[in-house]
Amino acid sequence: MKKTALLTVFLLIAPFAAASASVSSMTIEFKNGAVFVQADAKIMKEIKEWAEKSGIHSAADSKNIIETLSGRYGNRIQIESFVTQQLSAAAGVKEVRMPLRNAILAGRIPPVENLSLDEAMIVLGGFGFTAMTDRYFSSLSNDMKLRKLVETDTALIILDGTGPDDELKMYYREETGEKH
Amino acid sequence: MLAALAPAGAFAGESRNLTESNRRALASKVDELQHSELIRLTHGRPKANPIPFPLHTIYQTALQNQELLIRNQSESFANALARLGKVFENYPVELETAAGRAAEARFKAEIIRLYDLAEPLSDSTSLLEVYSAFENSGFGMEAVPARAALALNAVRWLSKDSENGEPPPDAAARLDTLMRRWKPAADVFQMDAGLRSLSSDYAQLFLSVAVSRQEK
Repeated sequence: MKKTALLTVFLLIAPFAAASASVSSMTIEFKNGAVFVQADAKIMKEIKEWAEKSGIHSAADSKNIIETLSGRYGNRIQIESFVTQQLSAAAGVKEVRMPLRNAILAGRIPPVENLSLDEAMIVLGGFGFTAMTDRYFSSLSNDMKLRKLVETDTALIILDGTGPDDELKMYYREETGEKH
Repeated sequence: MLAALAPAGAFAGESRNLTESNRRALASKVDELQHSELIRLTHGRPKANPIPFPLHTIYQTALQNQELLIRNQSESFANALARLGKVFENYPVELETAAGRAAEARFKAEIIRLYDLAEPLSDSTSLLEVYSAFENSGFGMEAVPARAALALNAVRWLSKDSENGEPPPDAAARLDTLMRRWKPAADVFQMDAGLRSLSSDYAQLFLSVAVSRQEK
């Protein structure tokens, strides 16, 4: 009786187990996004070989990849693409990146070296900039980033830290210019 | 090389004279110190090969390679002068203000003061101190453009939005103190630490200015 029950359970789950084992997935990453591909193992092997041969990891053209793979395998594969939008890609926005010390020596921002991030925000805010931490900025949607930029009269300053070599990002609207 | 500096600074002629006077001061100091140094290092018992190893290089360089020391120092001066000129080019508006002109004059004088080795060499009592005088001079000059940029950047932001286009008087006094501040650096690490500390002090000045603006 027990054996029959176990056999029944095995027969019931075996097809699902086999199906789930044969499906695999891969993610092709680019500088500004990624393509997620899911298919059965045999097709996935072909796709991996094709990806390695054609060097698409560096091609960074997700649209072409989706078209090629969809054309070749149809609905036997699932493809999703993710694009990381960047504020610098928006029209009329200029991005400048440099180490904090260089930005100070070049006169772009008042001195904030070795202050705490909160103190640096006070100084930058006191001299007309809109400043925020890189962590907070990354959490904003692209629309929110644009809104922040539109709201500021000068530049949006993103700080990663206040060490001399920490990266500083500045976003300007082209009509406001770089220097204020 | 120094002739090429002529268009870069109005004080190139002065620098040429300083190179000569540095050369003469070094030769005379080495001549004065070499006997006493030999006695000091060997505890009064000169031997065939009497120089202890750690000081051997310094001793030999100062004694035999004076021209190398002079050339390195004049190259440091030339580099620092060229970079200082670029800093001044970057702050044309600030150099029109009284605070900016004062900073320009101060750092031009500072680079000449650091290049002139008459006083450090006359105070030297050993060849190690002679060598250190050259190191302090070289790294001191190398830091001058960054110090000038920090000062002019401070002038830029302090004078922004002010009625007369000059930094406010209370901040100007602190700014003047910061412009003068420099701890001699014997190597690149000490120079970096000096610049880091100076930049932090400028940041503290600006923090106090920003906080007082918030309170008003």
